[in-house]
Amino acid sequence: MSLDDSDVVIRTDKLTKRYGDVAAVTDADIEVRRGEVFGYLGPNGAGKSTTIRMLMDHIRPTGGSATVFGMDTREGSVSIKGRLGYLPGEFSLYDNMTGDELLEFMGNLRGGVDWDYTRELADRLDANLGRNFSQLSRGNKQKVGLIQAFMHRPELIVLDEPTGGLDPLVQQTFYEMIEEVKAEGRTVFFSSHILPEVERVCDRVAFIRGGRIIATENVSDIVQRAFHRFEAHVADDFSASEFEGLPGVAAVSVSDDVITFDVIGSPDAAVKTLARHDVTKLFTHESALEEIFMAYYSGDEQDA
Amino acid sequence: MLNNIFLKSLRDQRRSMLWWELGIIIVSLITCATYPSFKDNTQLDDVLGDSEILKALSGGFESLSSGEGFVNTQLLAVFMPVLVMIFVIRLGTNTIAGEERDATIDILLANPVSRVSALAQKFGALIVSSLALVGAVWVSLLAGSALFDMGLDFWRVTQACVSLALFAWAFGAVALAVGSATGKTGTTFAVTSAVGVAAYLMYTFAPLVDSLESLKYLSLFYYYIAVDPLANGISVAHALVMAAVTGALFGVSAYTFDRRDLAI
Repeated sequence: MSLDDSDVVIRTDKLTKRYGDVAAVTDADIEVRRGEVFGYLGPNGAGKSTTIRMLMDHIRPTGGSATVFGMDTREGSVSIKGRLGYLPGEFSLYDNMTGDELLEFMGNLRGGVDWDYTRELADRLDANLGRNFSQLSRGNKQKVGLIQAFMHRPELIVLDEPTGGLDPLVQQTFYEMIEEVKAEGRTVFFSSHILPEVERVCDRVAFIRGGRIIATENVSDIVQRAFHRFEAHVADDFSASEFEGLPGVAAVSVSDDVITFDVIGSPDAAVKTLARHDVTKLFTHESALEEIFMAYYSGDEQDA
Repeated sequence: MLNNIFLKSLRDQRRSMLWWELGIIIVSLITCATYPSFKDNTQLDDVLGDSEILKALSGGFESLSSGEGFVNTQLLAVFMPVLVMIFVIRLGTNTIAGEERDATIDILLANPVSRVSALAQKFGALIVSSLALVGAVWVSLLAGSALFDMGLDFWRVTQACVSLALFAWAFGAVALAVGSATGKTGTTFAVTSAVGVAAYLMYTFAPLVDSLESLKYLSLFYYYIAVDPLANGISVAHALVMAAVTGALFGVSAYTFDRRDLAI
């Protein structure tokens, strides 16, 4: 699908980065539309940061091209950066500065900072802006990193693994911030290796593995395919046949007093069947993101 | 002090700058304070004049009894340029390669500032910091001359310091260029220090061997002090060579830094 350029915020065309013989990203085609929250999902080392750094013009593609706001990432670099906010993945902040000083510095370099909004974000994230970064924990630095990416209300916010090091409460605040950005019609591009996070905030998601984009999908479509693995320890007699054929239940297996099966969609039927027995323990595991994708895309993908 | 990258870079220096300035002033004044005991002793001049090696070790100067000769041999020929060199190599290394090592460049260049502009602002801060350092040399030499009756000429001291500042910028530009091209602090520090040592050897010892004498023209030390600016004033040609080296190396820095991947 090709959209009018004004509706596309990020577009990459066969974007490729090789380091000698090693391909970090190969032929990546991404299209991020105005106003959407786009997830860039994949395991560590899949090429997520490499892609983002090419968008930021911090490293240069060895093949293909990328545009942001319709401008080439190389030629338009300065104008592009004037319109986005960026939180790097592995980033550092100046050890000799406090949060307040860093925000002031970044604000001066960018202009257009909404200082009331910045204070509000700092309050909501409970960020410590008075201490030198050398004295702050990873999570506290991450908060300042987030504030500087949001503070000037940019049209596009690019976040590389933004929730690492944040405690769950702060993560909630972060998700709310993303939703507010979306409500204002602004765009978010963020990378993650955590499916529930992507489920929670993203509209669409591209899955990258071994430097190749395997699929780009609506999150709602993927969630339907997500399965949970149930593991039940049962004290009385039961048989696998009770569970086989239940709606949404698959891969039933029994060993001694333990029964395991996968549930796609509603677990209602499986839970009601289990309830007829004397269950001593019950575990559920969310399927790994990669398993979901692999289940649907196996065959056309070789290991990198 | 946080208005732009130039001022922020100067701000980063403010604490260490104070110590450098203080150190330079104290060392200069203590050295000058020993001048009265050399002043009437011309035997040392004879010894220096007779030995090419000793003369070379003193930076090519053969008089200790004159105020100019004393300051040249004790401070300006070797001590100050080496100190200034250490200062600018450290700064030049931190300019780009240091931000890449610390991974702060990722956030810095996320702002609407071109790489060349960031580089120029940071080098501008190096220019100003080294000028401030040389300013401490200037102040302490003028004060030392007045306090200990060394008879140094105000304008000649000024010209010698201008020459020292040009020398500092040129070496800072060497560090900047290596750091901009490689993005590695270790390499930058090692290469630039090696260039510094080579420059010193080529100026002071190569002339002892006739066949190597012309090597001195490759040394920044030569352009810095060969004409003895403290006694004779600065050579415009030599000053221009140092300025041209600085400019050319800045050009190399901008060219290489703008074309490579950041080392992050």
